[in-house]
This record gives sequence, structure tokens and C-alpha cells, in this order.
Amino acid sequence: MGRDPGRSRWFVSIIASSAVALVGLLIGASGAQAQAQPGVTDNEILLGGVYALSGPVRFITEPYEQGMRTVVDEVNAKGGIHGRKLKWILEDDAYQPARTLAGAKKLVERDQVFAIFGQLGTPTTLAIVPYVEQAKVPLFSANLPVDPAPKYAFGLQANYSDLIYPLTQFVIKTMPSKKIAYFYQNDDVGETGRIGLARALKESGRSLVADVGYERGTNEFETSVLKLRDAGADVVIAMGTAPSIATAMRQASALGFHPIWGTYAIGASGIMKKLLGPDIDGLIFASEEESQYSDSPGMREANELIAKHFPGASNDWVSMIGYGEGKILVHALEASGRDLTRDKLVASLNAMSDFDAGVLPVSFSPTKHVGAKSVKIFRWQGGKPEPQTDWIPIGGEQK
Amino acid sequence: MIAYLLTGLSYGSLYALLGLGLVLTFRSTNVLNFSQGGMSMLMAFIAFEFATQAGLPILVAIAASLVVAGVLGGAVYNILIYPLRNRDQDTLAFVALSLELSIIGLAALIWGAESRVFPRLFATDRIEIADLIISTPHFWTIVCGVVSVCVIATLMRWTDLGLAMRVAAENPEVAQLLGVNLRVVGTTAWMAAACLGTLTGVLLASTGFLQPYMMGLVVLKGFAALVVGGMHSVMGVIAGGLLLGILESFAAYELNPLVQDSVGLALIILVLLIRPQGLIGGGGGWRG
Repeated sequence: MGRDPGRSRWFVSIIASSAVALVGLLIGASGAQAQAQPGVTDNEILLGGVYALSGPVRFITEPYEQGMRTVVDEVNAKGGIHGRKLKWILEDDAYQPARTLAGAKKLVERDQVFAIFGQLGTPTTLAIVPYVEQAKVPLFSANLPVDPAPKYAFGLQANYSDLIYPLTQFVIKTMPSKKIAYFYQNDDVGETGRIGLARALKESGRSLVADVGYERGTNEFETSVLKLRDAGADVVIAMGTAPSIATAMRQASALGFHPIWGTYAIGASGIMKKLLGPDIDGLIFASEEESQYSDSPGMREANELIAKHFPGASNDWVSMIGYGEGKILVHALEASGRDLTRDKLVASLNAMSDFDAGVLPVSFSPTKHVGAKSVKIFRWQGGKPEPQTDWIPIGGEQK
Repeated sequence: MIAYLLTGLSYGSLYALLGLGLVLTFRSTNVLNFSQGGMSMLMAFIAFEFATQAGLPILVAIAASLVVAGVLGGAVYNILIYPLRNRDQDTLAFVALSLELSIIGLAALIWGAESRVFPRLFATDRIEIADLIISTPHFWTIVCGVVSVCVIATLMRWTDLGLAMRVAAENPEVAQLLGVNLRVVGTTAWMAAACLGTLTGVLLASTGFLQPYMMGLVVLKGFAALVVGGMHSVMGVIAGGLLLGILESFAAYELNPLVQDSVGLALIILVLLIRPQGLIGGGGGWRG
């Protein structure tokens, strides 16, 4: 018996139309997915961080991570933000800019994170700003050395020159007869610091008695120290890594040379105190952050929470940077509402003017994406930093 | 001026100590020992652990780590180098380089990248002689340099072992025919080099800080001392190290401390171009 041609045609048309319907359904579904935000589900917001989880800067990123993780865990324990828990996943860049970019791409394209929160370092941040701008993914880094403000990238810490400028002004004002010298790491750290230094010196008609640099990676500072001593420096403004500055200070002291040392926020770091012991007393530094030893309510809460989540963690300056970033993130996500989008997060961050992040006051606007808004000068006395000034607005004059 | 000279001398002694370790292994086993820096750092950490964890007095801790260094140096030679002794110099140098990177990686894993303060070796920070001030670690670096040189030079020149080492370096086959046990010679050289490394590491850590990456530039300068000294000569490497230290210091004084780290590299290039056999080397030059 032959097959009924009419029946077969009917069968083909059923198959064909269901195939069309299926394709249509798939297209419709993917269209709907494109409208939802990557990394945001009904009960979770997926965030990424990319910074050194290995290598020589890990001792800085570890406390940073503890600070940030404390805020994330704390907010999740209270039920999350608008019913969504935060999930924070990390990629290791080993402080190598090429790997930062690869890590950021992985987070955005493979893991589909909603935003990148957590990045530390100038060269590594610079490596990913163009990418996040093009991908339209919000980025929050501890440092943002980009001017003018990009659209999607934000940062927290003050520019080095914005720290060294008020520090130099403080020295000139409070120690007018002291001779000032500059000791710097020969890279962007030293050169950015120099901008603030030169500005303050020029404004008061002063000049340096010595200008002594060293190459990154060296540990021989004695000839530099001799140069500073021979120039008769009374105050040495130092820009470099904490171990380098601490080594130079120790070698100076061994040679009987005891100037007043001044530096940027790294002067508050736990590592500096550990390396110098009681010899840290007298060191002055400028920071955008409250001292971690301060008993201000915000700092007390930060110290308590970090100790609760990471028993035994040192209350380091950089853990407070991570903590401050976490507070900013939580506030901005809350302000963005349940109907969360990347553009809404950016708008909420831009709207945060005069926000108290617990450990430092910050201000953002569409044209100002670096959070830090003011600087305080501290001096180590009796094993802790004591404030020497009030908050000095960045770019403003010292009272 | 004198202060710069003293600084130069003490860093020069450090380079010479490093270079001395390099010359020993190069002469007797033909290995450009790139792992000397890593070994120095590792031994400084071991001394640190003996002092802080085991609570030994620092000098006892250093003595104990010298013993560990001897064992480790001998082990490295017997496990990694001896089985490959018939391979060419490049292969051996790569083995040493891989070992260096592994040691640094391992140390970073165990102790983290954080800088640590090495326990105080000396009661005072500085020694003052008339108007001169020298920091105590630097003073002892110079002393250690002088003592090590005397010991090694005596060993090489006047003992049978030293003679065996020199013959082994000159011509391993003839040495074997003469009844020299190459394995004993190699083991001794690597043990001695590791002990010199311990001194280097401890002295460097006590002038600055203890850190897995601390040998970075310094080890390059040990190699500069080796090249300047003509690769084979104990006296040459000492002279090379001291010369480099003093040149660096005067470059910092006359020009800028920024240039001081480049002096060593410039010196390597200059010596290789003008006098490849080294300043004190014999006629042989770079013997492969």
C-alpha cells in the first residue's frame, strides 16, 4: 500500500510550523534576557573584583579584601539589598596590568557580573578603564588616576598630589624655618607627589634643599640618605612604598641623621608601624581617611565588624579603604532600588555628595568620580597617629 | 666623602660575598648559579624562624642556619646538578634559574610578601670612630667579607681540597684520572656557597628588611662582581665587588643616587667589551 501524499504533506507542515514557532520562542526568550541585567537575579546580585591575590602586593590587598568582605557579609546577614544577597567573586591579576584586563573580561563576559567592585593599584586600574567604559560596566577601584571623570569608572583614594600639597603646606606653615628635601621613588608615585609638592613650594616662594630619587626594587638607600643629610634637610617628604620609606628612615637613623619624615596615606599603614616599631613616632602623613586608631563612631564600628568577621586581622589603613568601598557600594545599590540596572547604579553613585562612608567622608558627582573630598594631617605620637588638622578640602586652602 | 666610601665598601663587601659564592660553584662545577640569591634569602628566613619561632639567640640561630645551608647546598648539588653534570653550561644555568624562581615562589607562599624586621644582630645601631659613623650591620658586612675571603682563599690555595677544586675546574677528565672525586669537590663547593649565601642574606636583611623579593637587584650585582673579576678568580671577584660598591657610591655622590643601580650593568658591558677576561682574570677569559 502506497503512502497517502495528503497525509505526508500535513505532517511536514506540522513539523515546519512547530519549528518556526520554536525559533520564534527562542528569539523572544533571548530578547527578554537581553533586557534583564547581567548578574542580577531575583535573589542575588553578582559582583566581581580583580586585584592581586598573589605576589608582592598581596600583603596590601589582603586587608583590603577583609574590609570589603566584612561589609558584604554583614549586609547579607541582614537579608541583603532589596531582597537580593550579594555574591562577590574574585580574579587574581598578580598586580600585572595585562592580567587585570584578562580578569575583568572574564568577570564581565564569562561570569556575567553586574559590576566590578574591588581593584587596587594605579597601573592595573588604568589597564581596565577603557574596557569597562566600552562594555558599560560600572567599575569601582581604590584608585582612579583618570581625568576628566570617565562615565562608568569610579575611585576612592585621593590623588598623591592632593595629599602632598596640604602636607607640604602644613610643613611650611608650622615649621617655617625648616629646610625641606624630597625623597622619591622614580616612577608615577614620585612624580605625582612632586606635583603637589612643587605647587605648595611655589606658592610660598620656597625651594628644596635636596631632590633625591631611587629606583623601584632597590634596597640600598644609604647613599640617598647621605645626600639628604649633607644637604642639611630638616624635613624629608618621602614618596614610595612603605618598606622603602621605612628602610630609608632606619638607615638614616643608623647614620645619626634624624629629620622629620613626611609622607602620604601609606604612613598610616600597619606595615609601617611593624617595620619601624617605636621609631615611627614623629612621622607625619596626609590621609583622606580617618586614623584607624580614632574612636570616631564610624571607625569604631569598622574596627569591631572587621574583628568580628576576621578575628586577628590587623586594623590596617588599607582594610579601612576596602571597608569604605563596601559602604559606598551598599549605599549606591540601596539607592538604586529593586529595579536595578547598571545605569541606575552609576546614577546613584553620581548622586552621593557628602556621604559618610564611616571611615572617610566622600563626594561624587558626574564630573567627580574620585570619592575622597578632604585630607587630614596626622603625626605618629605614642604609637598612634594623632590628627594635627581638621579635614582640609581637596583643592582648597588650609585654615 | 669618607661616609660614601664606607657605604661603598660595605655594599661592595656584600657583592663580593655573593660573587664569592658564585665563583666557587662556577669554578668547580661549571654552573652559573642563578639560585645564589634565592638561597641567601631562604637562609635568612630560616635564621629568622630559628630566632623567632624556636626562640634561639640570634647568633645561635645563624649558626644553625649555616648547618641547614650546608645540607641544602650539598643536596641541591647531588640531586639537581650532579646528574646533569655532562650537560652544557646553558642547561645547568637554566636549572639554577628555575631553582631561583622556585625558591622565591615557595618563600612567598610560606612567608607572604610582607616585609619583616630581622632580629637585631648588634647591641648598637652605629659605630663611631672619631668623626666617622658607620652603621653596625655595614661594619660587620665588611668584617664578614674580609674573613670569608681569607678563609676561602686559604682553602683554595693551600689545601688538597682547594687544589682538587682548581683541577676539577680546569679539566674534569684529567682531574678524574688524577683520582679527584668530582662529586666530593662539587658537594663541598655548593655547601660553601650556600653558607656564604646565608651570611649575605642575613647581613642584607639586617640592613633593610626580610622579604622574599629582597635579593632582586643585589644578586645582579653579585654577577657583575663575578664578570668584573674574570669569572674564575677568588681575588678577582672580591676586587670586582668592592670596586662596584665604591663606584656606585661615588656615582650617587657625584651624580644622583638614581644612577647607582645602573653602574653594575654598565660595568658588566664595559668589562665584556674591553677586557673580557676580567680585571684580574688570567688569559683564558670566559671559559666554557
